[in-house]
Amino acid sequence: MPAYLLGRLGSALLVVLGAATIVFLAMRAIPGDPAVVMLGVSATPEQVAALRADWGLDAPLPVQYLNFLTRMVVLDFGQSIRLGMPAMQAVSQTLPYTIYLALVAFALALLVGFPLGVFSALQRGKAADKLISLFSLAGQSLPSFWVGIMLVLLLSRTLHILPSGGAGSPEAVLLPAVTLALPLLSVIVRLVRSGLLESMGEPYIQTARAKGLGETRVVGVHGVRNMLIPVVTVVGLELGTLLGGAVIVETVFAWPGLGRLLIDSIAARDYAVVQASVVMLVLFFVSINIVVDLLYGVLDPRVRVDG
Amino acid sequence: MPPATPSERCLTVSDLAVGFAARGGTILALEDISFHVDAGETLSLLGESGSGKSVSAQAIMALLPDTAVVSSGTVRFDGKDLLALPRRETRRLCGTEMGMVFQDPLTALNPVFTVGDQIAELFRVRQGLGRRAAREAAADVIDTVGIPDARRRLGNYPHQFSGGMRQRLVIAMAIALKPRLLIADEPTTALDVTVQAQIMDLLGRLQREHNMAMLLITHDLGVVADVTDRVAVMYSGRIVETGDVRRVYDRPGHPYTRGLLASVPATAGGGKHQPLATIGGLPPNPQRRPQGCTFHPRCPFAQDICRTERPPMVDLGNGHGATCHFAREMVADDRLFA
Repeated sequence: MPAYLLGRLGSALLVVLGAATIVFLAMRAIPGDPAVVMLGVSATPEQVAALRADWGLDAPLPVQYLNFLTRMVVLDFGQSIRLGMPAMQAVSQTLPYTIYLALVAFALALLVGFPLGVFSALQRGKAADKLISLFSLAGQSLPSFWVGIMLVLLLSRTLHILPSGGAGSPEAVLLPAVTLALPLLSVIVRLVRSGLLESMGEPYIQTARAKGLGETRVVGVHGVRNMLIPVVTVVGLELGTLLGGAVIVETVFAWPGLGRLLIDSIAARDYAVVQASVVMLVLFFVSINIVVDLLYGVLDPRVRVDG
Repeated sequence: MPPATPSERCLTVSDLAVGFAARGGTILALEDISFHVDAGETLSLLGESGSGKSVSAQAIMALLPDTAVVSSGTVRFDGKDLLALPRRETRRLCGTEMGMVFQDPLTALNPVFTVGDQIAELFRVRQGLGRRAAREAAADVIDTVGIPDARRRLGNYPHQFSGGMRQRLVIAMAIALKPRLLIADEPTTALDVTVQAQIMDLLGRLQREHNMAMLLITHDLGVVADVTDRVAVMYSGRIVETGDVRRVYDRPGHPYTRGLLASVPATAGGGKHQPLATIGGLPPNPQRRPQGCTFHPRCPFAQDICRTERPPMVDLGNGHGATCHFAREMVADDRLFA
């Protein structure tokens, strides 16, 4: 077990390193000089050069890269040029909002998607099943920004039930969370439905019935437990994309999270904050994946790594 | 019919017909199925794949898929007609009064639960035993079916057992609550030959110990000969011959039974090697069963009447019967049974 875990951690580290490298290079490859953005187009070349020297942007690219990597080890990403504070501080101020939003969305997707999928499977071929399938297809294909805007138009502008944006009140999380949850919810519905139908066709279900167990127990224990294996795998991976989806949803709903910070920082060419945000998102992503991998072993005794 | 007091009779199936809904109407899988099993007795349903053996078992255990339609018949068990009961009521008898052993032990056990949990579940859910008592009871049952070191192995998962051991576990689940009827659906088909005999011995021992009625579903003529009291031979959804095993094997009244028996390779007292006899042709498509006797296209003795008239069950005495127009001639044909 420790050897397996060490291997997993090693490859996770490589993923983080790769992502850090890509974001480092990408920020410098896109046009737009942070100093020019800061000083405006009327600044003299001398002023620009001085500011660049201040930020260490005049050093050769490999030197900048090595500096970036060595400081990253202690989570020091440098100063934000836009916010006048350490980049990591900006990230840690906004990250809780994103985690909160993602967790609410995740809970929503699970609590609604799971029962809906089970119900759909038990109603296979009937009207309810077809309706749910249609709904989940729509949920998966409609883009978040459009769904978000429609929800705002309907529930905020027309019905005045929920606030259209910000994080000023407890219920403000609902609209962005629903928007963010919808694609994941749809995936869960489809996975649970097909997974349950598959496991209900297995011979051990007949065995459970022959034991005289009630249908609730046959489905709820013997069927669902086997269906969990594929569902957890995919849901775990989707949890990472939930963080990515938060970037768009936060922008639509003016939610003060990491996603919005990232977008704003890209526009300002705030290298330090962009790098800090992306590295933190990637860290979350790979951590979730490792947890899912370990969970997989808990769920399926056949893949349990004997140590 | 052999004399049996009503109290001994465990299961009586009469005129059972089961169809499956399909495009373009219902396909009849079973027709005119009648048999009975007494306490302590073994009846074999013998037939090739698709003859309807397993559907019969599923009908008794209320395990038929939703597409199946029981169009007629009764299944008497425990003084009730199981087919007239709501499915939930019949299920209540499963596990406690009727146990079932499945064909493939590799898939019949749930892969994600320990075998201890799977067996203890019976005691906990069906008998309301506490966790610890159920575990103890499960260990006892596992011990009964001959798995060494039962207590320690409770925490193992199915994939940690061999095929033969898994079938013992499936049997343990079937007999845990001491049912009066045990249905074994091809219990040895998926196993190594060396393990097959052990499993049949185990079933036989358990049957004697609990005086269970056993319905054995198989296509293995040897298994039938070894452990069975009576046999019902099935062909294309119908019982074509039934009776005491020795009688049926010695003097088959149906050409199909005769063909089956002739197709067993003679290994004992061999010497001269003869080509293996086979039954020519294939069983009919259930959607297009032939007119008259369903076996006539493959029957070497077929006459005109066989092509037009469906043969009734001909009583050959002592509970032996065959659905062949020439059943009496078949049995009397000494030339062929010298």
